[in-house]
Amino acid sequence: MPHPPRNPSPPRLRRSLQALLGLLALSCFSVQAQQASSPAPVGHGSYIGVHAQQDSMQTADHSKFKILQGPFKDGDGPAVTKACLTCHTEAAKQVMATQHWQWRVPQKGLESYGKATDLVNNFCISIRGGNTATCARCHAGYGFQDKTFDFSNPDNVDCLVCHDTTGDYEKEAAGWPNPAVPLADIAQKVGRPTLKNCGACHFFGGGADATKHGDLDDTILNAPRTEDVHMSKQGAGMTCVDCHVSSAHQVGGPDYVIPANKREQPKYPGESISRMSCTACHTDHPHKSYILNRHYQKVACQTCHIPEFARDKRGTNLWWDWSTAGKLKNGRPYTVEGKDGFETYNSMHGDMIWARDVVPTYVWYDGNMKFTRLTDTITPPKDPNGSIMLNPVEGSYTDPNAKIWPFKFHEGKQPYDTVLNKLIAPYTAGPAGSGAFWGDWKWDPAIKQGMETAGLPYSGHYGFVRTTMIWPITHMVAPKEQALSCTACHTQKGRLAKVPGFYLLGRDRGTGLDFIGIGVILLTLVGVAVHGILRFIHGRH
Amino acid sequence: MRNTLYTLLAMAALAAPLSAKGGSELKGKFYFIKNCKTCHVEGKSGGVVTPLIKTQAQWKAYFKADKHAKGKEKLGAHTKLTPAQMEDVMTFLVAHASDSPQPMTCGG
Repeated sequence: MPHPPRNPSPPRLRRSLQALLGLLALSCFSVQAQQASSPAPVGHGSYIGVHAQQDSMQTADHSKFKILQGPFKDGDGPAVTKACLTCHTEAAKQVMATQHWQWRVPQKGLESYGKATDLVNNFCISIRGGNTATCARCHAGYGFQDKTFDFSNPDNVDCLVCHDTTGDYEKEAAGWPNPAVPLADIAQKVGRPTLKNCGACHFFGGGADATKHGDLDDTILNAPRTEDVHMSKQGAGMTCVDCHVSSAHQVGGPDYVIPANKREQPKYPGESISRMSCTACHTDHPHKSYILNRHYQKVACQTCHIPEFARDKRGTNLWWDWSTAGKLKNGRPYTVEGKDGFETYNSMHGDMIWARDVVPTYVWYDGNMKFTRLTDTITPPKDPNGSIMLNPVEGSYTDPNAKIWPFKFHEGKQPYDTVLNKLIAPYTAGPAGSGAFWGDWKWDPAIKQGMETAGLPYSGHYGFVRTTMIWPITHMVAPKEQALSCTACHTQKGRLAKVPGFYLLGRDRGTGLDFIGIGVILLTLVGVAVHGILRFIHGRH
Repeated sequence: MRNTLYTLLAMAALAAPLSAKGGSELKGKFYFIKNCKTCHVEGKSGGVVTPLIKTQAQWKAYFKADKHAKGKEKLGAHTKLTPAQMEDVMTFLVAHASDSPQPMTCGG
């Protein structure tokens, strides 16, 4: 049986048109080919290896240790620590080498970073002005009253703040336990840190819940999956330390900056103590789509997977104006609540703005930040709307280590020395008659006393300057159904509209690439039209 | 003997409230958080209660009246707080009442 002729030789025009269409399709085919050759994604569930149940990780019943049965005197935390150290002989030394104890992070060739240094922020400003005891409620130790604190005494290490599993542990000024805390009961029930242990301080950064971090607050303890797929009990039910894996009590995570030689992504949780990464569980190619996986080279996972931060009822602080603080009604401090239920004024802090479901600001970021110190000379902006960036980030499109990251921008006004042009550490947390701002409501004595305590010069003249801080957003990862769609960024007024330094498909116009693309489309249309006309002329159907 | 016992009990009953006076503000804060705040928070049955909702005199009167849940029960009826611990709670609430010298604290 004769076969019908296959692939009869097409006319020249048809061959040319096919070649053109072939060129047009080439990019698509090549993408599909590469996609087919990509390794299969292996994320989603690989965390199970590290996310073991609390109970299965306990190898000792601490209630059986006589030394932990007490009784301990009210608030005698050091006595509990001494008991812990009888078995855990190296634990205190390890803790004392960490930032949780020292509140300072050594930097090669630079002054240390940390709360105990001259670093300044635009929330509570600084502990250096005499506020140490109040702030030390979040110090992993006992008795951090002022700069005379003995950082070499292991008995003052607070084991319970991280290892209490009852939820009953409370710390007070200078880090001492509340005298009503049932120390013996807690000591007999210690375990691996839970969300609540870490959250006792890290949810409350900036002085209150949800203030500093837009992606961390105590709603995480009972979060629905839509708020945080990892920490929600409806989601993976993970704890902080499942990702922030420790080594010798050094809790994993970047300390202010990520060392340049450790920027590679960890392959599993705990491989790097200085850097956490989504890839440790999800790999660097977790999507089925090759194109989505390629985004990883220049876009942080968080950029698409945390579409908004503060996705809960709390709301996070975006504006803190110290210059309006201290107003009194009938001689007494007061608060004002806005229509949305958030505080818009507080005599302690001044005017404030809070918001929830906040769209992040996107910035090139390579892991490095610079920080401003009380000793740095600042240049107050002449523009009344101008602001001083306290912690500028580093990174650009051309930086191979940089990616587009989501950030929370926090703005406010804070006091500075108008003669010396330096930021100020006021004495804020103290009772009436102490000179503290929250006790006597006067800036002049609070600043004088604060700078004297900090051992820093003060001209006697102060004003307020607008400042900005930038905070990376990395928690509150949303379910994948809520991840950003392509058009959230690939459009002219999209989320990346102001991110500079590169050509973004769908956003940028008027380049040679656009000219070529439009030219190819026009040529195609012309080819189709000519082909149609020729067929019509020759009467072929 | 019986009279002596009654006398001792009467003395103890009198001494209890006296000894509780000037309770611990810090301990009171702890008992307040662990007991009262289990219901008296946003979204729960008791409604939000903080030291700021009353003046010092109002808090003292409230504890003296010893009524909870709109008079349905005695104060602290469904807690295990002792009279001394209740005194600590009152001391804390009075110390941070709306007209107190320290009505607010950093971090709430």
